[in-house]
Amino acid sequence: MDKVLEVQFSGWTATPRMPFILSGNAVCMPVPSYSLLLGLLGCCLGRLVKPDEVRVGFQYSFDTVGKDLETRQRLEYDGKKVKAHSKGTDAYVREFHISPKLTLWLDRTDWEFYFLNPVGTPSLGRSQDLMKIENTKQVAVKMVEKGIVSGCMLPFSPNLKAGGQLVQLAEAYQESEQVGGGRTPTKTGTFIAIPCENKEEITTKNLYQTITETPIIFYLHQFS
Amino acid sequence: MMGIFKSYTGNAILNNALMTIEALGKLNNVSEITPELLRSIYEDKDLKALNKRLKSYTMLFSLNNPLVNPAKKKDDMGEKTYNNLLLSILENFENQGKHICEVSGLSFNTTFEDFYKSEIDNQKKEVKAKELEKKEEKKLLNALDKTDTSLNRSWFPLIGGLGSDAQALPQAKFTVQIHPICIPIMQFLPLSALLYKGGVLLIDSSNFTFARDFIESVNVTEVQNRIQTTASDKPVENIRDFAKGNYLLKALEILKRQNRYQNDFTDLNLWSFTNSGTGASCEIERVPNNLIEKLMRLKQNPKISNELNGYLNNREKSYHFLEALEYNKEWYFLYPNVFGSGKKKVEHEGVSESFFEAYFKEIDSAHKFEYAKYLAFLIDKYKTETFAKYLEKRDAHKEKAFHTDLFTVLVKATENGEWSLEHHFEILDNADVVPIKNNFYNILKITHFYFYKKAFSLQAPAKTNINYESSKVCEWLIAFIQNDDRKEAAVKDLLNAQNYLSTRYTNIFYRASQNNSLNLESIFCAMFNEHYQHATYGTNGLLRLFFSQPQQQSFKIERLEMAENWKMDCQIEKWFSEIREFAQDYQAYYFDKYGNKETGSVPYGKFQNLIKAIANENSKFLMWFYEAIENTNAFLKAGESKIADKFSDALLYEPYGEFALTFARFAIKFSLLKQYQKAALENTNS
Repeated sequence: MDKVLEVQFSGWTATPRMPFILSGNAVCMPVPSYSLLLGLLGCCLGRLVKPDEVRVGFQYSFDTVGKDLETRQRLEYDGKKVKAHSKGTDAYVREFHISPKLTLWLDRTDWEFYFLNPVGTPSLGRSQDLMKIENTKQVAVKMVEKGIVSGCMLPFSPNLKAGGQLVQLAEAYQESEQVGGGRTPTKTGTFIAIPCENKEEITTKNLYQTITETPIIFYLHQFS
Repeated sequence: MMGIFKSYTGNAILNNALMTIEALGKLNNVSEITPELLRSIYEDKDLKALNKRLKSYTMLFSLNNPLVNPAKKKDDMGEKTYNNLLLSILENFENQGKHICEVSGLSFNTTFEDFYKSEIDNQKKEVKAKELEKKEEKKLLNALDKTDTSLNRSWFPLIGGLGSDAQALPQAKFTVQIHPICIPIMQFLPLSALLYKGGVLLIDSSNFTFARDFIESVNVTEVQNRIQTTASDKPVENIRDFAKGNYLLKALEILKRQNRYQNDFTDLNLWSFTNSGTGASCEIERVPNNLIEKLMRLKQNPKISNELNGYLNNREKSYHFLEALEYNKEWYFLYPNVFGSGKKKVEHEGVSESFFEAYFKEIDSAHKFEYAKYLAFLIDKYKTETFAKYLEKRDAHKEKAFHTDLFTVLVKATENGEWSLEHHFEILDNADVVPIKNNFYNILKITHFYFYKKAFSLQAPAKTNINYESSKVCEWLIAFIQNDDRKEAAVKDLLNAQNYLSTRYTNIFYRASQNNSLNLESIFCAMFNEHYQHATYGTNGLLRLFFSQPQQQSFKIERLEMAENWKMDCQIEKWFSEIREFAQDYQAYYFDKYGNKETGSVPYGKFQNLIKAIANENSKFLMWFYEAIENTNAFLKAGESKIADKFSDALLYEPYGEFALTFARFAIKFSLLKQYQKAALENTNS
């Protein structure tokens, strides 16, 4: 592979939620998960994007973390149906990122049209976390063995000398064909979310460098 | 025996529980944790009884957990449920199956719900076997039927839930899929639960060895000590003795003990969470690797190691210290200071000199300690009585007069050859700002620090050869003063302690206007501010120092080299062109009117005298100006009344419409002088 599709997004807010922190206030991960990015791609393409269709690399940054106090519509499941909770709504604190910037690198250069003319309105997190597509272009890349990689998520192994937030999450989900059947994780694993300000040299597989005036090194994730 | 995990997971809560078990079981690796081992520790520690006593338990699992649920106290039903459920899970561990645990990645078939329902069925059978009254039996069976058997936050912290304790779930009616073995594992978490910022602390790091050591040597040890020092019939209180500084100090000790810090990258995430009732919350505080590295370097310095311990162990100081160190800011406890007033007044001596310098080195601050120490020496030698009065105060650097008093000291030192203009450039807050600002506020606090600590340097630091923008302007201006006919008067003004700030250079520029290297643009950039007012305060201060020097270098008049950031707005350039055009047209008018038409002689002298006589006083200048534009316009129109006037008082307004008389007057007079020189030169050449 010597060429990738580079898509740059920016927004006012984003909410890449930390998984399994469901009670109390919501906290953010330093970067979005791969399943969230698949959803973002699906929104632009106007269909579900399966993990075996694409390889994704990304770099994510934001200015600072803000906190919202929001009303939560609580639901209750009585074994038969989901209904509004008898005790009504409650308020809780949500973390969100301010001025997020996301650059995606995809090995599907044939998808450029969908980012120039996205079917849906892309958002990162909540429905109000709208993202604007700033730029779309094809860039030449070369494979490298090591480099400074930041603002992304890498599969974690103890040999990986990187600082960040460890997270256990599903890299993608399989939607149920049955309406209301929910979704099941396709594979869960340990990832390390490396914040954008961490600038450590990392040696790992699937590192690529853009051949541009300001080269950027990124990790291209292969979904399993 | 079948190990449960090969390695840690990405879930911080589960990892902390696993590390706690490793510490309690004195294991070497997480893979040594087996269901049998869990049961053995569970029974040895009497975990069921212990968790009931630990106050951290309800923070972790809420009051809805059957072990502590007040509604299930009767006949110890809750406790029995808890015990049977956990033992049943431990006895029936499976590592294969159709389900995948979302928090650990383990596979399984039998869900937690299955185990729970099975336990409820057993309890129902027991109730029926008791042959109670029908009403009583029905009541008990009904209560058992209503048991919420779903896996919710009362079993795994912050995981949400369904039913009466509904929390947000990612998929509404589906709970998170978790391997049942995680539930007994989580029950060990209270045995390492310390409090941090009001919540339970989790140590989360990608450096697992470090995290494991921390939990073993700090968390588990502290909780064990608390349990041992509490009577067995009393609840075990939460441990809230530590703040961020304490934890980081312990982290540094562990990293030092591991002696392999240099090869590791240790980002540390301190979680503070509570799962209790409606107040459930979670906060993650990041301690980045670079902060840990900074602390390690400070800790490794034997001169300040104990001092650092003191600050980190001090709750009030440590928080701000760490914040300042992380973000490369000055920490306000560095300096001697006085906080509060009256009974709440606290006097602070400041940190040691070694700590002070090590701290600034860590935050990459460009402060010039050698200069500050030398300034402290000069203050000690040349201070005035009024300066001395407040210098011994801890917060003397806050005094408004400190800057001025220090400058007075510097002038005296300059007179005695112990300070110079070249030295002075080195202490300016910004030596590249033009018009020059004689501000050296950044070094004041440090200078006072050294004065207060009586740490002096008797030698001035070596001068650097950096060519600052301010030094260029000073040399350029000094050259004009040194070559001016009235040099003595200008120098006298500058050396006058009372009046030096009001010194102006406009007359020197008028006299030097014949010099080709002098132009309006240079003068404007160097001597006027953005409001077109004289901005010579800073320049005057620096020139005062220069002319106070016993040895003064001579400079040649040269064109002022304009820095790139001095580039002028095109609107301003246009305004300057209009002023020059006016000077040219006015001269044409004047020569036309006063020249001898018969002989063709031109009144150069008369024109020069007229320019020199243009008044500096506003009203007189304006009278001349309005008359001049009227005459010039009339001359240019040559009797044609329909032609619009070329010039108006718009010349006195800067491009954005503000009245700028001071600068416009100078610019008009200077341009007329330039015009006169040009005409005289042309005449000589012809």
